[in-house]
Amino acid sequence: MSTSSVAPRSIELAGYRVQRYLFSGLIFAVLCFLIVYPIGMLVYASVSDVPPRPGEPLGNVTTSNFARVFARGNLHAIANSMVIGITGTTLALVIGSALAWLTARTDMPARWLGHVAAITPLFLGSFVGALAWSFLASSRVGYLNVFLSGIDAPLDLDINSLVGIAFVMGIYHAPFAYLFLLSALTLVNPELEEAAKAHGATSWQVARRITFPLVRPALLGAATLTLVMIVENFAVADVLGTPAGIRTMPVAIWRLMAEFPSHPNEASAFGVVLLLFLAALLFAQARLLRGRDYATVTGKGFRPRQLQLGKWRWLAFSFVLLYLFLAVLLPLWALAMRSLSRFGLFLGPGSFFEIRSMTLANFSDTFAREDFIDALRNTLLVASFVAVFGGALHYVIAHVVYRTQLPGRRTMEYITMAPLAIPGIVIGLGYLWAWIRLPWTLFGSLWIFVLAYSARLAPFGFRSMSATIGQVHPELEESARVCGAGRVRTVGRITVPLLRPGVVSMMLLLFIMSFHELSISLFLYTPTTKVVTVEMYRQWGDGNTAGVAVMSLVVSAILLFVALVGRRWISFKER
Amino acid sequence: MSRILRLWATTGLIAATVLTALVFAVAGSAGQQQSGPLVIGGEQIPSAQLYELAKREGELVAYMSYPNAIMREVTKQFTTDTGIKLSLTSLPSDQLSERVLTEWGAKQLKADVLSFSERATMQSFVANGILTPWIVPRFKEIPDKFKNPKGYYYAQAVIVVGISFNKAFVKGGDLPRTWKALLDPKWQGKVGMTTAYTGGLGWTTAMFTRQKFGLDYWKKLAAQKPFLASGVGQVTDALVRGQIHIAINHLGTVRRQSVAGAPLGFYFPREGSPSVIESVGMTSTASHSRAARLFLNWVMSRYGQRVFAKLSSEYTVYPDIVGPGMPKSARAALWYPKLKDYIKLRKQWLDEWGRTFNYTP
Repeated sequence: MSTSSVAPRSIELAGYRVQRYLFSGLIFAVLCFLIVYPIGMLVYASVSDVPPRPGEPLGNVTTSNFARVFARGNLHAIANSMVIGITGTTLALVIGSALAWLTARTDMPARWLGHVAAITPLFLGSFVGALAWSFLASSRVGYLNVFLSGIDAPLDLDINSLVGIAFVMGIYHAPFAYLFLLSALTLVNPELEEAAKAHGATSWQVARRITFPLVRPALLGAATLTLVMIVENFAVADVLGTPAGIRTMPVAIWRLMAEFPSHPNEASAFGVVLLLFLAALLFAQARLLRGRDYATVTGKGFRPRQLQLGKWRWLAFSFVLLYLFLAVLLPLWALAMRSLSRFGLFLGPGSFFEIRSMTLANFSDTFAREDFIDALRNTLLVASFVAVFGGALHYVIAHVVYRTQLPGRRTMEYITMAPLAIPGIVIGLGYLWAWIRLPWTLFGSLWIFVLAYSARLAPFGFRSMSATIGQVHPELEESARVCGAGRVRTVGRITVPLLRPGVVSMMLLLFIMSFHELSISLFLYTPTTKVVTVEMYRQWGDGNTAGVAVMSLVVSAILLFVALVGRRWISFKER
Repeated sequence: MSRILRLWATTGLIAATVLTALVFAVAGSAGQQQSGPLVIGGEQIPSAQLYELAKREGELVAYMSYPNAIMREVTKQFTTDTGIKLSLTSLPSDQLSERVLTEWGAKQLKADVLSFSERATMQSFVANGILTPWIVPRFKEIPDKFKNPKGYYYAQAVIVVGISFNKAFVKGGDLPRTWKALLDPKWQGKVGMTTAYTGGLGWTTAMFTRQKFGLDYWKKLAAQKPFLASGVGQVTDALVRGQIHIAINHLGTVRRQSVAGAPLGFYFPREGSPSVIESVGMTSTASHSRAARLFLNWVMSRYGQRVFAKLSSEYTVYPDIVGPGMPKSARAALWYPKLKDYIKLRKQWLDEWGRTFNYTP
């Protein structure tokens, strides 16, 4: 009885500890199911001599799958990926950083347009962008080539080439580089620049010798992320490269699975090679950035100084317009032209203006197809669920990692960020093999998409949430706790309202990215669970380019609408 | 309060009774109307019993490698005729095969009916128990080359490959009327085709040219730098848009496009036309097995083949039924690969094709 006063306290502490471990264990279980298990299946397939299809016996361990990856002429694919990756990234960085710099740090006219130009291509997406550019610049019959031959210009653009693919990759990944660099440029402490100016440096010298070195870490981060995204991009490489026999790593992996007879083990080995390559890239970036002094890049109250562009103002403005034209307006025009033409045959520049030969039949045909309507409904459902449930999961993980002392939270972060290094086409296979074995029917329901997308987009949701959480000082939450509010109540009454704009923008991001997902979906869909990108890809394979153009326009319209509504909602709440 | 509740309960009870009676009445009258065998144009498709059981299943899932645009119309007609909803997934043979194997392994094969242009796949599905036999009513009338001897699969269509052209770019006198004429340097960069790896159609076409004209033909054709696609639709679209001027292509698809107004023409080259058998069979795990049998009966009936031929412009298993625009006389020039060669030569020749055309699968 002498321990009676101590016992309840120690039981309470033990209970608290158990609770902590239980919660931590729960999150680990979810992450293992969503990320570790599918990757495990893939790695297993890469070293086994039997495909990991359910029902197949356990295979023997072998390294021959890796040997065949390098022996099958796939070196071309690796080389192509490198060329496209480096060229595309360079272009994306040049465009993205120029737009970010012009928007954040100069007196360019209509700077809001710079922001709009930089963001809008995100809503079109690289898949739709690639489809549109294949209409615009296919050799001989691309719409731009029809105009060029109309004026007897001795030039034939060919988008189905390495340069063409890199160009499309570059312009549609520039928004990511832009977003990455924008905050860094906004946060550069102007005192350093002003000091340089006071010592007689010209504006250009300041930009080159002060501003650029300060944002170099952000630039490096943007470069790595863009390179990873371009190298793993399947849709652009397949739409533009396949007709010309140009194959990149993701396309080679898809073909290994898609052609008869399929080579699942070899595809997995190739996937693991690509995964290791991307992981090495991200690791190298982390090492390079480690120990850098970010002290000058802070968010303390100052307004960044604006560079006077003088006579270059209108040139800068023209650059923004040119980008908007190439990445958004021209592609939308091409999609409109293809969707209004019965056969897409344009024999001369004049034929683009023949209103009489235009038709709405492609629209009525497409909307009459149940497959499309079903796919659109499925996509809307999946994207909404991913935004809500995936978003909630990403929020919980970010909260645990940055706001709690729960055990294993660093490991949680690593696992959550892992899908960044895993190409969709690779993890799609992993999901299929891992989840089709489950006793309950996940495969064949829309939930498999919700889970797969939530896992795939976890790095984006998590990063976006961590940044938002980082902006809210923990003191506010601590005050609520001191005043007696429980953890859940604190999150509900203090944290969430403060984070609302960030949460909404993350949900929008998840919604849009879910709408664009193709490579995973190709492995997971069934007759009753098609999503719109799969339907577009299949129609493209069937040669129904008019239908694809109509669907692209519809998807773009939906996403632009969502973006507009979402943006208004955020600003309304902020007021 | 309790009085109001009682009133609601009574009203609800009456409404439910009336509704139930109505539903039974409607269901009963529908059943009476449609009982008996399905007879179309004097031809009995299924027996009354099979039809009744199939109707109770009410739906059917089909995985097919046949071009989606045409197959959708064919299956729509099936639904109109039988009242059974058919959910269709179309994919190229190779992708479909991987999907079937994965679902089969997980004991979650959703398809009741499978069709492939790739006969080797159908053979392997017979071997590992994925397909189950069903003897259709017209089994004896179907020539041996168009069916599995035990009824595991049947040719729902005979796909013919020939030469097609875009009339906006190729004029009458200029036409390459033979396979060898495609090697004329003036067509360099203007010819399109599917790769040899594209299901049964790609492989049969490659096999035909190799057996007829030798390896040299492949080399000379590769030197023409052809546009290579992994699907019939892509080749046709490139032809319609003028990206290529001549195509080695599925004539049924070309004919449909030309009927719709595209400036396309086609012909059967003098040396013969490779023909591919699109085989259809039912799965051993079909959860709608009666509806699957009904579909096989329907599609292999003379009526079903007429529907297929009309919508697809294909040849059929019955010599007198051919698609519109397809000359009956050309049937004699159709070339069918021997199944043994088709399977035996495949690996080695595909590797050679890949090297010759500098194409890595």
